Order: sequence, then structure tokens, then C-alpha cells
Amino acid sequence: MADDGDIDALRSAPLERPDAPGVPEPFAAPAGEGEGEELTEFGVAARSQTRLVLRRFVRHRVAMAALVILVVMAAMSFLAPHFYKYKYDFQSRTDVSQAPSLTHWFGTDEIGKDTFALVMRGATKSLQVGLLVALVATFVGVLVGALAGYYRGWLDGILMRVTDLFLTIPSLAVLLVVANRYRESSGNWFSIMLVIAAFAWMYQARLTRSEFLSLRERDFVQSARALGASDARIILRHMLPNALGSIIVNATLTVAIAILTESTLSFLGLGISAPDTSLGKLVADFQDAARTRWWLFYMPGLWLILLLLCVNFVGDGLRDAFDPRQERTRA
Amino acid sequence: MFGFILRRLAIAIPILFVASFVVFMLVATSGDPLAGLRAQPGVSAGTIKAREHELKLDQPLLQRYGNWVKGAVHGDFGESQHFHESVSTLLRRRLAVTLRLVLVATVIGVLIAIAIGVFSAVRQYSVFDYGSTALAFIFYSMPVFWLAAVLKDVGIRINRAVGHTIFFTFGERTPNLAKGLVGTWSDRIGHLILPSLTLILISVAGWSRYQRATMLEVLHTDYVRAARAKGLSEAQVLRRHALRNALIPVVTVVALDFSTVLGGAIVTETVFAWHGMGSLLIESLFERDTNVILGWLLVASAIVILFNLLADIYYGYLDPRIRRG
Amino acid sequence: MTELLAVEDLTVDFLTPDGTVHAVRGVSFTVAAGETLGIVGESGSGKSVTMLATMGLLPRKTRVGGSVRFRGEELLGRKPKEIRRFRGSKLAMVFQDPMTSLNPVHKVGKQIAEAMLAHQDVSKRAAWAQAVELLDTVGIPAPGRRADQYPHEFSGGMRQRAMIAMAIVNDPDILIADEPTTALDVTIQAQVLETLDKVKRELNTSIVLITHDLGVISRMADRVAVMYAGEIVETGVIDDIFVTPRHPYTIGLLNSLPRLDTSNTTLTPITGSPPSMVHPPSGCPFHPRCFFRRENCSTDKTNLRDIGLGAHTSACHYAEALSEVAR
Repeated sequence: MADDGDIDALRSAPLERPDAPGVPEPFAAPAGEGEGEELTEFGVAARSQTRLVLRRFVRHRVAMAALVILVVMAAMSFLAPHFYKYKYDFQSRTDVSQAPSLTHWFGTDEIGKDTFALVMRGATKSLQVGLLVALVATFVGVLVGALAGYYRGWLDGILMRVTDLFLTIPSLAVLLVVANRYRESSGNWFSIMLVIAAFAWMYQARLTRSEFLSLRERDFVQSARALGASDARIILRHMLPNALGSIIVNATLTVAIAILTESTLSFLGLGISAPDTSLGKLVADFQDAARTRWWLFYMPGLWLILLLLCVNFVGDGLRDAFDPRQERTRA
Repeated sequence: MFGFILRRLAIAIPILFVASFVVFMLVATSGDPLAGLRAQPGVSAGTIKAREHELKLDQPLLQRYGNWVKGAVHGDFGESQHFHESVSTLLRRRLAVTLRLVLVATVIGVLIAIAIGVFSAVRQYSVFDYGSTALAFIFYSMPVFWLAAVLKDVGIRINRAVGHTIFFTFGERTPNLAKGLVGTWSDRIGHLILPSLTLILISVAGWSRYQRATMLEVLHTDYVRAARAKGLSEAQVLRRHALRNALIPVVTVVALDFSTVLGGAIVTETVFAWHGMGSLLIESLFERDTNVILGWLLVASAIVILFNLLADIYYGYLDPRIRRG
Repeated sequence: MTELLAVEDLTVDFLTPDGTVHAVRGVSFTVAAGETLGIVGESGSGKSVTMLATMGLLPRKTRVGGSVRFRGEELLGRKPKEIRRFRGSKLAMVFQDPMTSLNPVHKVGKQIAEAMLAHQDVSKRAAWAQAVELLDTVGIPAPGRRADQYPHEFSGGMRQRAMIAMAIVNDPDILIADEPTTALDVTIQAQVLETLDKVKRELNTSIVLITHDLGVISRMADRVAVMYAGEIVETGVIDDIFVTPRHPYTIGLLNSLPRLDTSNTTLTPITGSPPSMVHPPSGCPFHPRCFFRRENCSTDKTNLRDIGLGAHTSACHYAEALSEVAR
């Protein structure tokens, strides 16, 4: 119903963390001007959209710094086994419960495992899961949203009802129920990843759908249709590139949410399990050590937070780069 | 307005039914309640079969769903295998505990978030704005479980330093407390502080950003400019035109966010060992207590749908464009 | 003729991360009592910004220079509290998009009454009654019922007329209409223009009409100022501009209009595109697109000067020579 549509539009607004409420800025559609030209109020500048976006992103100092830090952190995590002395499953008999030092950068735990190695391993897993979830969820979400937004009608109706349903049932709870199945199986990070992705695509679907709904009325789509282009061609070559901005931004934010979700699941014991580890699991394992051996608890936690912070800043920077929302006055 | 409410209600009920179906199918296929029994050595096939029949697991899926829904409509969710009491009594008790936390955190959180968001928008680019933005990002990037654990640690340290327990970090109340109304209340509050602080800090992070963005959007609208053009004072413009419009989305979003606040509560309850819905779910999952899980999910979904409905009604009340009919 | 508004050498710069945008670069004009001044120009010419500067409604991060005097009192550089005395009471503004210029959550009558209550010491009931009366004045049927409705229940033309009612509630000396008809259908445009006409006649309000539509100008304006790239390039009474234009830009504008009275069926648009206001062209801002361009046009700065035909002024170095070329 047209009048009730505004509420449904609002329902698509929250990109929710599974464990806490909070919405990033309401997302506005990217500039999406025709390829190659950007018409500004006071002049025409022929710059390719990509270059413009990159230029704006680079200018965003915080986002750039976050990106650099993120890359460094990811590199450290993945390359740790190559440059760091200790492996995550190695137990030293002598160095037990040691505070951070030059040999053991983050200290050791009570059975002699090196905390830095554990944190790096955990971060690797978290990043793995996060990136893959974002990939899968974005793919599914864009597919569902594009089809719903382009074809409308009964397809749209069904797809959106399904999306709504997924949004109604509390996501963390369902995640817990489904993840429970894989609790005992070791090496289960892939299944966990799929489970998280299964509940992470809805927002992207809604976003893509609203983008496509507005794009399909644009002149360039109408003319492509008039020229006899096939649906697939229109969707892939004409509409998708214009929706790319919001898709990319949302994918980035999904990475953060995925990492958060995985950590929460692991913390509750229903995520990645022994012998492997994840940042969430590390925090869970050592939460009681906070008072006596602070490094065991705070190192994984702070590393996780820094990771998430950087991803969020990069996402924010990307959003600004795609839609700077300048204050424009009509002359 | 009335027709509007009826329309939303008419949509809500079928959604609840479909949700119940999905929930049932999900749980029924997600785990075997008898896995523990099967894993035990020396248990005969006959015993397992008997147990299956007792729990009605040998019936076809749809029939089981039908029986369950029939009971659910009357508020009967069966018995809990693990806790040995009726699921509905269990849920009621645990829900009361969790709602206490969730409602306190939400109400306080919303008020703080609105204040911060509006002030940041009005004083854009100020120190306050940059500061609150930085803090918002930090807390938004913080997992609830970690913040909960940190606050617990800090609470204990403060207690030790002061030599007196101000912050209770275990459970939602002191058992067997015989202290009268004021005593009971201060005990409850003492237990409530740290968990609700956890939820508040993280929800304010997100909500205040949203409020700030909404407020900024409103401040740049044509009608705010037109209001200024009329010669109204800045305070009047802010109060009557900007706020009046900017407050609509955020409260609605908060109501819609209920399911995520619930998620946060689950985690927080685990850290602070509260006997609420959170620990109920976790325990039931570990013990494979299907009836509890089913009841839990249905009740939670029903509450989410209820809050969605309230949000819709509230939004319709505030925005005349929605009301028609 | 009493001079109500005197703008002298007004400059407006927008400070953006992409560079400073020189939106208005030295604009001077006057508005007399009871006259309608039309300001014509493309998007980006600075016409809206000029009047927003007058009302003090520019966003932050702008630099304003020059002088704007209303009845002898300087308006620029005033404290917000002082400017508010003028805004809505002596100087009122009607904006382009009536859909977004009315607050969707307040009733229309309330928004009109609010304008009155902000400047006059009257009761709420009296203000409401006045609002209803004004809705009637601007030609909205069943004004009593309509005042109780919300903006989304009004049609586009009705909304615009309600905006006009909101603007005249305190009997302003000058009504600034920023593209009042651009967002409307042609048939509705006529209604709105008629309303403005009525306001002018019955209340003797001066009107500053900002538009890019020459048709609207020809119908409504007494005098015209043509703006291009942040400067006024030509001013004059209506006939001066339409019959004897003396600036290549004006000539170009007129030539872009289809006409029924000649057999010439080709439209000649102005070549090129509007300039960037971050780096405006040197000398005469129009020179890159000018069909009459000469050597010194890219170097010598232009000034609005009297070209000896009454109150007609032009900024073109070769205004006099253009008499051969026009039409």
C-alpha cells in the first residue's frame, strides 16, 4: 500500500549488529550520474566516476589511515607463522603465564601457548569468515534485491515477504539454534560462515531492491529497453554499475558485522571451536583472567576492536566517497 | 488512523503464523533431542524407540507442527525436559528478568542518544561533535561480550578498592534477600547497573549517529529554510520544525531494533550470569531441550512483531502522511 | 520612485573542499516601491544566491561582501536577532519547490498563522482567522477546511499559493519569488502568476521574480536584470530587453526561444556550457561562448554601464555595436 510504504522503507533502514542495536547513517543513493560526466552546479567536469570516488576516498584522512592499519593488521595475521617465532598450537613448557615481553609479544597463557600467535590465528579466522560472509551475503542479497526491484509484481512480493520473515525472527537466536548443529564438529568454520551468511543478506537485498526500483524509472534504462536490450543486459550492464556504490559500502559494513557475529557465536561457545581458535573464543576462554593476567583477555579484545573500528571507518569513508552530500544551493 | 492500525494488525497475525512454521521446521531439523541418549553406550534400541514415542518424535513433521501450534495458541508449550517445569511458566519468569534489562537500557539509551545526536547536529563540526563521533565509532565497533566482560572487571576492581559491593556482577538479584521495598529495589538496581550500562553504551553509539544524520538532513530541508525565512527565532525553528520531524525516524527505528537489543541482552546475561531469556536459550541449546527452544523463538518473534506494530502505529501517529484511512 | 532595496557590489563565495565557488561576483541593483523586478539567468548564474544573501539565508561556510540596504538600513553583517525583524515581515520569500518548502507534519493554516504570530502581537485565533482569509485571497476554495489540512493534501499549485499566502501575511514591502513556477505545470503556472499579480496590485508589494523562464518575465516584470556567471550583464525595462537587447547573452537567450511570428524555423542555442564558478573566465565571463567576441573581451573586465538609451544598462564592451545584430 502506497501510504504504508514509508514504514516499510524505514524497516529497511537498520543494518543491525546481531548483538546490539545501532544503525549507521541512513544511506542515500550514490550520485549515479551518467558514465564519464559529472555535472556540477557551476560547471561540467568530465571525470570518470571511479576516479572521482577514489579521489574523495583518499582525501578522507581517517578512512585512509584505517585502510592502511587494516592492511597491516591483516598482513600480520596471515603472515605471522612466517615471521613470528611461535606457532599458535605450540606449548612452551617453560614460559607459562608470562606478561608481554620482547620474546612473547603478547605474553603466554597458563599452558605455555603464545598469546600473540593465538591472536593472529584468531584474527585470521575472523577475517576469513568475515570476508567470505560478506561475499556470499552480498551476492545473495544483490541477486534477490535486483530481481525483486527489476521485475516487481509477484516475484517482488514473495521475495520481500521472505526477507521480512528473516528480519522478524531474532537473528542471533536463530543463528544460535542453527550453529548448535555444528557445535561438535571441528574445522567447522566454513559451516559457521555459511550459517552467518544465511542471515546476513537481508539488508543488502532491501537496499539493492530500492536502488533498482528507482533506477528502473530512469531514462537510460527506458531507452535501453526501447532499443531492445535483454533484461539480463539491462540489469548487469546498466543498472548494476549505478547501484555499485551502495553495494560496496554495504558489503564493507557487512564484513564488520560478520566478524562481530562470528566472535559473538564463538564467545557463546557456538562458533569456531577447539582445536582452532577465533578472537571471540579467546576472549571467552580468558574472560576470568582479566584481573590476574590481563594480557590474555585484553589483547584479543583490543585487536578485535581495532579490526572492527578500521573496517567501519573504511566503510564510512567509502560512503562519503560515493555520496559526499555537499551543501548545494541552487543558483 | 483506526483503519491503519487494523491493516497493520491484519498483516501481523499471518506473519506470526508463518514465523511459527519456519521456527518449528528450523528447530525440528536442527538437532536431535535424543543425541545424548543415542551416544550413551548400552542403551537399547527399544529404549530409544520408546523415548521417541514419548516425545512424539515418530510422528510426521507436519502433524507435530500442528500439535505444537494448537498448544501454543492456548499458551501451552509443553514441558521442559531439562528444567522439569512447564515451558510457559519458565518463559514467563525468565522474560520478566530480561525485559527489565532491555526496557531500562532502551529507554535510557534512547534519551541519551537523542540528546547527543541532536546536539551534535546543531553544533556540527564542534569539539562535541567530533568527540561524540569518535566515541560512537569506538563503541559501535565493540562487541557486547567484550564490553560486558570489561565492565565486570572494572566493577569488581572498584568494589575491591572501595571495600564494598556497589556493582553486582553476578546474577540479577541477591537470593533470599529480606530487606523490604527500598532494600529490594536498591539490590535490583545494583545488579542492573553494569549490564544495562553495557547495552546502553553500545546502543547509544548507533542510535546517536542515526539521530545526528536525521537531524542534519532535517536542518537542511527547504521547510526549515522557509521557517527561517518567516523570521522565526532559531530556537523556534529547531523546536517546532526541525525536532518535530527529526524525532520521528529514530524512535521508530529503536522500536524496530528490539530484536537486536534482545540479542545483546542474551550475551550480556551470559557474562553477568543473569537468569533470563539469554541463559535459558543457551542452556536449552546445549541440553537440546526442544520444547523450550521452540517456545522461546515463538515468544521472541511475537514480541518483535508486537514492537514492529507499535512502531508502525507510533510512526503513523507522528507522520500525518501515513495515516490515511 | 522610492528605492526600497539597494544592493551594491554584492559578492558571495562558497567555501567548499573542492575550492572557493564565486557564486556572486559584484552585483548591484535596486528595487523600487511597487515595481516587479525580474532576475533572469541559467542555473548557476547566481540569481537565487543573490536574494538568499539579502535575506541572510545562506548556509554556513560562505563569505558575503558588499552592501544590501533596505530603506537605508544595512542588512549584511547583522546579528541574527536583528535580521529576523525584517525576515518574514518586510522582506518575504517564496521558494521554488512548494512540496518541500512546507513542513509536512504541521497543518497549512498553522504554518501561515505562525508567520503572523512571529511578527505581530495577536491571538492564535486571530492569526488562524487571518490565515483562512489569506487562503481565500490567493484563490484557494473552501479555505476554512483547507487551512485544517496538511500539505500533502494540497495540489502543487495550491501549495505554491499557500506559500504566497504565508509570505504576505505580514504585508511585506518586498516579496521575493524564487522560481515560483518552475516546479509546476503550465496551466497551474498561470494561476500562480495571477496570484502574484493580485498581490502586487492589491497590496502594492514590490516583487523580485527570479526565474530562467523568459515567458514568465515578459508577463510579470516591469524591469529586468539578466545575470550570467555571478554578474548582472544587462538591465532595463521590459521592452529594452525584449525588443532591443544589448548583450550577446541576452540576444542568445531570446534567439533560443521558438517564435510564431517569423518564418525562421531554426533555433539557435548558445554554444558551450556555463562556466565553472571556481575558476570563472577572465575578462568578460561570457566571452568563451560569445558570437561577438573580440580581442579584448578575454582580458578587460566588464562593468554595467549606461549605454545612453534611458535606463538601459549593459556590461558588454560592444553594446552599442550590437544594435545592428539584434534580432
